Amino acid sequence: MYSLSPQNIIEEFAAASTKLARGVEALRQIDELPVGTTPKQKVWEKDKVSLFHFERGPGTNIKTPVLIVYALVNRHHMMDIQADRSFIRNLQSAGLDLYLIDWGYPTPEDKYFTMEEYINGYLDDAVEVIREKTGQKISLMGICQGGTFSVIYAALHPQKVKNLVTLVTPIDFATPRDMLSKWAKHLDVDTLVNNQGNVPGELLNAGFALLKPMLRTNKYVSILNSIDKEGQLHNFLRMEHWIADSPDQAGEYFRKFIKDLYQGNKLVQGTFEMGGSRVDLKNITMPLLNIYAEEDHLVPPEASIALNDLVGSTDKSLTKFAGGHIGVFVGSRSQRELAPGIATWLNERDS
Amino acid sequence: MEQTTTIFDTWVNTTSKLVNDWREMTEKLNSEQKNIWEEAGKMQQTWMHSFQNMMQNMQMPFMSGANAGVGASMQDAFFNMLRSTDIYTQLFQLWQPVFRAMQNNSFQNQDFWKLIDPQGFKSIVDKLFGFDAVGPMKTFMDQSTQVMNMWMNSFSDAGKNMGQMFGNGMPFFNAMSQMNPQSMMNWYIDMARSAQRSMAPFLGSTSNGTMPSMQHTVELMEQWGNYMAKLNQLQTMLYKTSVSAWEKVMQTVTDRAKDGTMVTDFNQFYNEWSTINEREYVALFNTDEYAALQAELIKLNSDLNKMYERQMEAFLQPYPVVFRSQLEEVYKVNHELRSRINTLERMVTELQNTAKATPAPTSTTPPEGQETKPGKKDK
Repeated sequence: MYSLSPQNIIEEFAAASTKLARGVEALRQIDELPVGTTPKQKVWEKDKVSLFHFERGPGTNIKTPVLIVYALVNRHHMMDIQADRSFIRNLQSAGLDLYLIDWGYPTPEDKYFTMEEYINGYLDDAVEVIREKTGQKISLMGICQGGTFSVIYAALHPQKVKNLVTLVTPIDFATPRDMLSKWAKHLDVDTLVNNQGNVPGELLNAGFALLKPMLRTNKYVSILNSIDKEGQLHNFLRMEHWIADSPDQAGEYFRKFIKDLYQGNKLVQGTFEMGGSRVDLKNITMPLLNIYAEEDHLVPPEASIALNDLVGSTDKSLTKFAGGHIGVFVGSRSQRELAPGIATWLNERDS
Repeated sequence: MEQTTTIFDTWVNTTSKLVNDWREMTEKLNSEQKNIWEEAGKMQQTWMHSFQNMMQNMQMPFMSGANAGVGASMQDAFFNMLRSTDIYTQLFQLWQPVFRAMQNNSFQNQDFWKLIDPQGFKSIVDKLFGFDAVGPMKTFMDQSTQVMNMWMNSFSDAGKNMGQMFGNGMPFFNAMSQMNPQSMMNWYIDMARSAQRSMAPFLGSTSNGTMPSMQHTVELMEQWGNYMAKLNQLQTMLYKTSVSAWEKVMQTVTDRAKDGTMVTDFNQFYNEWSTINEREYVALFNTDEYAALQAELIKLNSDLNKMYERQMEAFLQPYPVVFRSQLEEVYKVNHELRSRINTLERMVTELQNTAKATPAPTSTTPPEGQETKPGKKDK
């Protein structure tokens, strides 16, 4: 006999209805959900791009400044999603002097911005501002697509980068488990960009959601079980807000990103060019720390791991971290281990 | 399984009919262009009839709930909570006859699809992938209908012009009087968004009746037909995958009953159902066939949006509104100018750095107006 009893099920549904009603009430009570609250100052800005310097804490003991480069897709707030789950605060506590480049929200007038302008323009400008301010080379910390940008930058301007740290960074865009890569191969990016100018962030978000198609429903079913736990609900909503906060992508940069990287896989093949120069990953000779997430469904581990074999660095580390693409930054293990680990690695190369 | 096939057939036929009707209307427009204005009333009715259907399908199916501020996030969260609870409870309703039959020891595996309501099954899949989108679309539909009514009223009353009409309902003239380009732009964008998805193709042509506009309308309708046909294919692909997933769920439930490891509450069942469905969908999404179809849909959607925009511009041609196509040129020039400025700034910095590196023999005073911008050292 099947063991689901009608009585149990009725009780389950009564409970679900009550939770839903409580959920509505709980949502009504929330006025705001601040994210990115670690104190910081804007030290430079150009067009829509800004450079922030996080206030140095008393424990800042690593001299080389670190520039964090986040992806253009989604916002950097995920690294500082809440005070007690903040990758930024953890890095700060571990002694790092942190800068962050904020790409802003492209609007239709930015459709002509190219990948070269992002990397050799804004990113290089930001690096120069820090070098001018501190009088030394920087450590570059790239995350996800920001990691790809950082790798390209480090290959083109190795003399400006003391250390390179990459986290969940796609480098090989043609690995078997990479579903985004499979989709991108069929994408008529020329028509998309020619017709729409900038590529809507919601289109990308829709694609990301399809990588785990049941998640959107499951997480809301689950959160109903914690609806009366204010802290958990707020954390959940912060993350939902971050997911939805997806800037549009400047058309011309997106065209090159898809054609040359996702469709051509040119970085790995050594044929990627920017501003008339070939991007040779062997030019990356500074120390490299490459961190990938074991269960990353957006950037499969193989897509990141490839980097270590392609660079010219002799001092290179490859670190596996348990968890998924986002869990690396917000998971509880991450709070304890990731930032201190990176800080230790950088400290050892700070002389 | 037979019942499921039947509901798919019905659905495919209905959608195909819509596409065929649409194409027929397009052909009619091509052949009877002179009588187009007489056809207006009939067309409007037809359009209204298919309006809801179109509205629900025009959104890229997986796109609900993105890009919101904190306030809007709460609304999205609420909507998602309702949607997810709806799926959860609907799933139970659908499986209840199966549970009951199992409870009574009267269940036969081959009867599975006879016990599942096919319409409910389709509804769950539609909700999972946003094909329903009734809730979030309702507000937009109401707004669009309102805009459309305003237009229709203006046609019936020759004494009114478009400016007056919008002046009543939108902050157009306020923006005009203050010469506030941003407000005007926002107005146009709002207007264009509404029109793109509602009456623009038809009314765009009635505004001036020019042949190019008419041609655009015909092209747009053809494109709409193509889009619908492809969307139809994609939905069918998802339904077939869902059927396969549900059969695997049923097999798992049966196996569990046999070996005595059956689930004891609905939540456990839901989790198992969800895991199997996820596995099956991901396997589908990983195929080249799906990737190609999805890419084609994105392209068609993008073409369609472009056509709507072109039609909207034709419609608004007589009015003092800046069009996106005109702005494109401005954007391009702006971008070129910014690039030149950046290049010049870099050259100046390089020169300054060179000057700094070379000590001046006769003077210790720095050149007048020397910039303090960051230098590009260490190249």
